[in-house]
Amino acid sequence: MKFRNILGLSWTNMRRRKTRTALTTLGIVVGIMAVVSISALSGGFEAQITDQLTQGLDMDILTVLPGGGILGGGGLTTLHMNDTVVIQNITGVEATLGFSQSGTTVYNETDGTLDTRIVGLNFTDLEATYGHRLRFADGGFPDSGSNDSCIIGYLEDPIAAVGDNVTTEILVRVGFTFVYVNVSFIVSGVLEEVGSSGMLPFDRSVFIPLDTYQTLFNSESIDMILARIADPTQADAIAEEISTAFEDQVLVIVPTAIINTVMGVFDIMEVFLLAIASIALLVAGISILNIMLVSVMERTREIGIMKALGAKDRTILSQFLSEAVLLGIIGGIFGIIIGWVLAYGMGLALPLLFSGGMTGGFVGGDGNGFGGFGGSSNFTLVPVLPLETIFIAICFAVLISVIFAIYPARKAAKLDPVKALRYE
Amino acid sequence: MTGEQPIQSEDTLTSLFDYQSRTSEFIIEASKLSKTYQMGSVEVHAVRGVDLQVRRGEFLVILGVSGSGKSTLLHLLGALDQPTEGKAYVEGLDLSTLDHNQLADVRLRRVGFVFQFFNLMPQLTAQGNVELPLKFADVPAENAHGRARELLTRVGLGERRTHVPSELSGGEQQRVAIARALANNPRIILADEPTGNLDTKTGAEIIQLLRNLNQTQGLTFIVVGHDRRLTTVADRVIEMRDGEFVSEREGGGEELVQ
Repeated sequence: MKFRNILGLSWTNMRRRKTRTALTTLGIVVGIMAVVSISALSGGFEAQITDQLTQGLDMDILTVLPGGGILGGGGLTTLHMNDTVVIQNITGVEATLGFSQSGTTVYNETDGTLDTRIVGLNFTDLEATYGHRLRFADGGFPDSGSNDSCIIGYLEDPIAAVGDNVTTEILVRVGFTFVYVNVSFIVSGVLEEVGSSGMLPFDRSVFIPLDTYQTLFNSESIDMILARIADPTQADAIAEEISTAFEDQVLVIVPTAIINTVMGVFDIMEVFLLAIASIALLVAGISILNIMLVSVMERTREIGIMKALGAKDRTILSQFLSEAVLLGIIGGIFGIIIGWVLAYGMGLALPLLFSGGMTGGFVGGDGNGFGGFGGSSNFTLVPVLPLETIFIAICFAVLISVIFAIYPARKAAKLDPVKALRYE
Repeated sequence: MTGEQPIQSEDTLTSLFDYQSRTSEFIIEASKLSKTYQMGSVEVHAVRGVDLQVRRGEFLVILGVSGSGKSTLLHLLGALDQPTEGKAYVEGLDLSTLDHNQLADVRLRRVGFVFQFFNLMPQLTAQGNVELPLKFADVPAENAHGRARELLTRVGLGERRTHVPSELSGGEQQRVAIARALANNPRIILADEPTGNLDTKTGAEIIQLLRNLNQTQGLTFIVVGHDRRLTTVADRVIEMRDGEFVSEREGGGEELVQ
């Protein structure tokens, strides 16, 4: 019997019992709906986060930290400014910036205090590495010789203007005791808002010359080195070279690796959720098995008639399997449509539910770290449902239906025609 | 008899039929055909060692009360059931040498069944019911449609083609069943109490329809039942009791006077 004819007969049979067909399909619909909405939502979430991370993490900046290996076991304990020369000499590295930072409080006479971080770096290196991204709202870089000048990152509520004095209180170790020392700087420039950036947050920070910083904190080392590379696609290769140059005693962070790590966490979550959703599909399969067994019993006589008319066992088998295929396709299509609508609705509702801290704090900590969500005000979650997912969902629905229809279909095919014809 | 050779495919089945159709004098034969059912611990001998030879174009009626084994015999001759002992031959071919699929093919192309309770597919229209065996036989849709239409017209149901069985009277349903039995142009029609579920007048009409097909198309009929009117149109009448033939005589061989 031709496949088209088998499908036609299946369709007739399914239309004959519309309610039952609808109810049988419902299981598949719910299962596929769950799978599709979860995968669409997490797809949207991933896209959103990738987007934010890509914006926040300068893709052309590599970060070099002391300590080898991922766990930092062994390796160098500190980096020094002359290490930047090693990195600078690697092909593909355009500029390097070594810096140190620590949390502190800054205040001036009129506008009160600001909890911030103070960053020590060479302004020429800063300009070489980040010059293309930094805009001064007022003022500019200090003169090269000046060691008591600073520039201040963007503040919603500025505490100082160009030419003002700002004072910071620094905890300094003297012998075996710690004392607070007040140090003043003249503001030479105020930056415009940079937004989220990588390892070096600009907004709300105070930048002072590295020499001054190292003198103040009695330190010769630097916290980390940033390297700007010419071609972001070469990031992995250059990172490898840097690592090799330091005999694997440093940790080089590639922005894409950060994204991959975050995505890896999401992937695990997604797989877990999909596994739960798949249970719904399993239940749907069992209900198909159940209903098909009843259906085979009810249609025993029809099966007998078909056999008496010359239908082969495989015709009967494919008859029931093709009904399962149709159930799967119909259930799959409705599941995808409803799943999409559900995901879209949740995409609208979720950001409202979690407005505020959750997403902002998720990656960024204080919204100034890399990938902060800008206070979530512009956070939207658009579900992503690629054609591939649609295809897989339909295949999955059909597969489940068919697998659970095999037993009833075989049972139908093996019926003895004489007994089947006598069946009342 | 060359039917002892195992037959592998439908193609060889067809060619073997063609070959044996020329060599065999009888269109249907049975030798020492027996069927025993196991009902719990009791053995039921439905058919006991029946020998039968049916000529081409013959209208054979087998009379018997219910339980006499006549339906079982019909199923055995029509490749629907397998005998416990003995052999049945359809168009010269030994059914015992055929596998499941080949037996289905015999039912599909060589014999047509007509049942007491019509056995139409309830979800299909008259047209759809007649097309069903044509679809099993992979007849192209257009040809199947035309053929079903022609057959329904031949049994007098040209106007009722689009009705489903529940919208048809008993007589009409039996006509659809007869048209369906004729679909793949078999040379043998096996009818199991075709008038058993019809009123007197309709029953007579159906008997006359079968007789007409026998006369005009040269189809071979084996009709089992207990309707005495069947003996009027039959060429030969066999009486069956407890699974055995107890008497055989010539039938009226006439048209049924209504």
